[in-house]
Amino acid sequence: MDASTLLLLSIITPMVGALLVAMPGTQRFARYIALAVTLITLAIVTCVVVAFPADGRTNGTFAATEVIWLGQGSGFDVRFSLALDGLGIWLYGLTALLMWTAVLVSWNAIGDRAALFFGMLMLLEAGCLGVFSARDIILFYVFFEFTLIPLFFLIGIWGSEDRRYAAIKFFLFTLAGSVLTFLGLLTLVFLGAHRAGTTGAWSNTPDRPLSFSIPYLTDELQNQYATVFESLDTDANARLSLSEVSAGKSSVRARRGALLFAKHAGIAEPKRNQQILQMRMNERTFLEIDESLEIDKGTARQVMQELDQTQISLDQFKRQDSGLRQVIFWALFIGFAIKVPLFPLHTWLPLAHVQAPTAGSVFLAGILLKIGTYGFVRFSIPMLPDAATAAMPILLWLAVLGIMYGALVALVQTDIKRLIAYSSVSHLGFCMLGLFAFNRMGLQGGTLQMISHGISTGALFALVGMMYERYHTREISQFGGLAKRAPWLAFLMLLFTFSSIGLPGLNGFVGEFMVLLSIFQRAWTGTPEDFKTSLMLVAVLAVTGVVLGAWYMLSLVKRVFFGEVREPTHMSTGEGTPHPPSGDLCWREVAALVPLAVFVVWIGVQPRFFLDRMQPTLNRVADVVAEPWPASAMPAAATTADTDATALEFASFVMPQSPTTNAYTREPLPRVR
Amino acid sequence: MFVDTETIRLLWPEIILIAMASWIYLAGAFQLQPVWWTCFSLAVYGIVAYVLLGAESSMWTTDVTLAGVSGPLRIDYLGFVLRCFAVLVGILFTLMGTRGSNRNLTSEFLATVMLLVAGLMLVARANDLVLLFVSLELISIPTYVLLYLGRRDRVNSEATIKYFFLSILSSALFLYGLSFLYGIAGTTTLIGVAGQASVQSVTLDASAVSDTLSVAIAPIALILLTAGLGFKIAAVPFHFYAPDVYQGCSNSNAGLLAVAPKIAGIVAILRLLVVAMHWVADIGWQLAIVLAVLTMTIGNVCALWQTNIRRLMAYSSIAHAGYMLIGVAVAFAFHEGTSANGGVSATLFYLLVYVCASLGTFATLVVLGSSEHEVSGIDELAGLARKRPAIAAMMAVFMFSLAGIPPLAGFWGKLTLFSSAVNTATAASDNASFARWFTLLAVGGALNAAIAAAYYLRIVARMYFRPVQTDVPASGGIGARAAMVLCAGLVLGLGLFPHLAVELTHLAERAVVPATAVTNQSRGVIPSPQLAQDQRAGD
Repeated sequence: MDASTLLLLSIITPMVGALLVAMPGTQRFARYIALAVTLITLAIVTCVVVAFPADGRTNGTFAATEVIWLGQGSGFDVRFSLALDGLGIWLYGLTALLMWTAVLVSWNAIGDRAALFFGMLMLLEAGCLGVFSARDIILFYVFFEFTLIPLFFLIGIWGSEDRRYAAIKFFLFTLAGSVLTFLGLLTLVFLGAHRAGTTGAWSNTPDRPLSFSIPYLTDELQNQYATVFESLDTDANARLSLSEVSAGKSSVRARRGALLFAKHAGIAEPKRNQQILQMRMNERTFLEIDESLEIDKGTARQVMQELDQTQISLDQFKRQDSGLRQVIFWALFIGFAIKVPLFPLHTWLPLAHVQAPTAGSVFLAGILLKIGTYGFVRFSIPMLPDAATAAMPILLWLAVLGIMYGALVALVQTDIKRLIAYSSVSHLGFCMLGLFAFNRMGLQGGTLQMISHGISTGALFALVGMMYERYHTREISQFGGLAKRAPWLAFLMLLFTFSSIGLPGLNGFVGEFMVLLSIFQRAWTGTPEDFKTSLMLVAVLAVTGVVLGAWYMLSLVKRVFFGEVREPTHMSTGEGTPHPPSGDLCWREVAALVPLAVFVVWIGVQPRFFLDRMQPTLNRVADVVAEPWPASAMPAAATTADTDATALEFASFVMPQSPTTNAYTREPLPRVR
Repeated sequence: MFVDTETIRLLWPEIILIAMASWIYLAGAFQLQPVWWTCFSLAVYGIVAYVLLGAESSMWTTDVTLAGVSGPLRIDYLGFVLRCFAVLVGILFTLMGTRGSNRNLTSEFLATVMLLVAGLMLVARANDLVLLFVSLELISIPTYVLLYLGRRDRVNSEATIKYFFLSILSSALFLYGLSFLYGIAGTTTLIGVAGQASVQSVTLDASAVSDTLSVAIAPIALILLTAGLGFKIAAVPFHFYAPDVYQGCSNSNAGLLAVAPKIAGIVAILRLLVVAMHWVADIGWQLAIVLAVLTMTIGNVCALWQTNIRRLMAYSSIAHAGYMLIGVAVAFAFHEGTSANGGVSATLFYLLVYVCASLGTFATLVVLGSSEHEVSGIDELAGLARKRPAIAAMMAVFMFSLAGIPPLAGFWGKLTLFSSAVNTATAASDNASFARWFTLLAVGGALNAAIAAAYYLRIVARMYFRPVQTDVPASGGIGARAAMVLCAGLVLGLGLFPHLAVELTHLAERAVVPATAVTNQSRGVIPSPQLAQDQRAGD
């Protein structure tokens, strides 16, 4: 079977499982069915991940499925379109992996309506797998919103005391953000489809249905960005490009400028679109697309004449466009930032985490938060590079405030689960910091940090759940010296704590280090003077976040697992749990965490295995926004090439790799001066 | 109004319905078995559907933009789609109403529903102001009767009387508006209204010598007609009756009220206001935007605090009328020279998904009740998931669909509506105020979707998160059960395969709002109402 079929199967299998446990008569075997389905899905997902090209160059066709959903007759072109690339592949894999943990930790914990529970869990898995592989905006949004329903039930039915409020708050908070994101996405689609004509007016083309394809829109919108903000930043440049082409010169830059201008003059439009549509299936960088587009001399002359006759003003066009792009960016921001959650919008998260059942917390922390960061990398940055650039300092500040705030609040928590929930706010701040540093290392580090956080925090929540099953309390002050009573529990807790605080050799370190490196690089060498101080402050504050992170996590471990033995008095056996476990972890609980532990070490010692697979996709995103400020605004001394090299040398010193090429670009390293 | 044999042939489905309704009234006195009559009327709907599909589906295989006039009827694809829809609604009503409170009145109930469906079918294709009015009354009058048939206590009587008087008032307003319209257009045919008046307004634009009075009274006509039809769809500020009336009547009748007048009102708005009276579109879109935002917001916000489920659904139906008005505003804007469209299609599709989910909700309530006890408090639903998981699951499906959560039908309704509004907003970026208004409309709609989710979720939370409080009888009868399952199937089916209906409504839109005027002209069919408009826009 090829990868496309497997990808499709991996999404369908959990849905079938959910249907199966909904059948009457299967209620008593629900957890066995769920386990079987999880294993099958995990096997399929493993096959897909193994089949993923090792250098990450997928051309957008890896495991691609494309079926028309809302077709021509409806004026829309919504497709059931799936594919995996470097950004989604590990999150996709992580979903299936965490499902194993989620099912096993719920094995005895769920007594009440277990069939419904496991059904919802499987639906949640299907939704998450779909989110990371959707290649159509509507399909993405369908999966994105669909994940709310199962989690709503998981929190509301099997949560702790305050579960109803938590479930409703979680749902409404996320929904309120995502409806605005939805409007933003719709506007993106119209922005991508309708822009044509001479003076910046929109034109409706009823013969061409509205495309919702993510690769197509990414190309289209990047081209628009390039037109307005790069090649054709002045009328004079546009004319220059056109005259070069009509004089027979064909530098890429000139051709690109001429062509895009021709498009806006409404001359070369049909030809170009046809080519782009044909290229939809084999995604390329927009530079490659532009190179493949030919504009002949005749067209260029025609455009020149047109230009002289109509006196098109690019300035007007530019202003109008950039305003709209800003609005769209902030509309998308609301939904994604709530999901992440970014600092002032995080209030739903601790509540939802604390009230959710263990499996719900594992999924929420491990996967669902990543949908927000994923959204930024998938939509906001590559589709609206200019608006993202303008918003970058604000987002970096929000991220660093989240890091500090999450860490400081975590320090004073008395409830273990709440502490870990706030640590999520802090760690997700690191992800955002990396993504919005806008360089290759930052995007890779941020994405790797998403995976690492998913593994370590997912595991920590699972461990807290296991403690709660034993003692029915999560108060830190009630515990002490548990390492003597439960050595396995203590060992695993310590391992994942170290992974979470970024101990070198474990997974947390790699992502965190790359993120910090990238933000320092951005602040010291890639910023114009007026932003410099501000970004330097961001970078320095982010480091204190690391220190605080180690403080609150280690003091948690110290208080709970070491020192004098103090166990909470055993309360009543919780309702619906027939056999409350006691003592150390049983084999089932260890089995739930072993795969995660394997990845903690694996990512820690061989990050290149993971980075290699996501590089090309992320580099493409990074290159669009690599130079967010015009060269004129930059200090003359530092050129980007220099600073990149220095930073990469440093990185290559830390990471295991061959001495001549760097780990990220596989380009030869410059010599150390 | 000359009626020839051709027109009668086209009216066969309606004639069958009315004749059979009369027969049921008559024979119902002798055969009292409700089951017998239910089967009989389902058979009648089956025959009507057969006649409808047999006679007309062949007409639309080649070209859906074909349109013709026969007597007072306009024959087009939109009418065909809506008539099929009306038959479906009739079947659902019949199923829901089989277990009425009074077994002796079942035959009367079924016959009256049949008349109502005939009225819906006539509204869908009326090309004459008089026929339009008469067919709207053919919906209203059976509704009064049905409300009385439901229950016989003081609350129900109050609700019925309230509905009766306000409905009469709205009919009067509507009729008054029609008289103004006749004064402006000088004709009673809708096509004439479109054609005549546009000619007049064109001459007025050119030189202000012509009859200025007709232009001055055009907004009056529009506002009066909007008031009359706004009552039917329960748009703010004509919504006051809805919560009281819904609360006062039985669940199946509330379902009927939430659906039948809304279909008729929306269709009349599209046919009369949007398509025929396109020459007041510049006021029309502003009016529609204001009404849409007010209706959505007031409906949703008021619904947040309701504890009676019929009252809650009444506010929900008000809010959904507001969503549909988004599509109406967009459709109006089409005439204002923006090249964007999709408004009519979005409104129709939204109407379809709303009807499925809303009728399904009321059918579920009927199922949960019994002939002695109507479910009315939200608290009665507490713990339903534990006792009756299948019914609770279907109720949850309806709630999530009404809230517009994917992958259910309601999501696609919101998608089509919002994208038509965003399309109009972005398409008009050279006209700043226009763009701003439609952006506001889209944002208002989106925020309202989030507010609305709060009370739909509350119902789901009651069913799933609470322990059982009171036991519901859940003996509403097999018919209501079938209606519930049918609606749930439609909501899920349209959620997974939305193209089936979106393409249908898109074609229906093409029938009344052609993409280009030239194609219609060259086919030699009746001149489209947009023709003059498009020419004007082209100048």
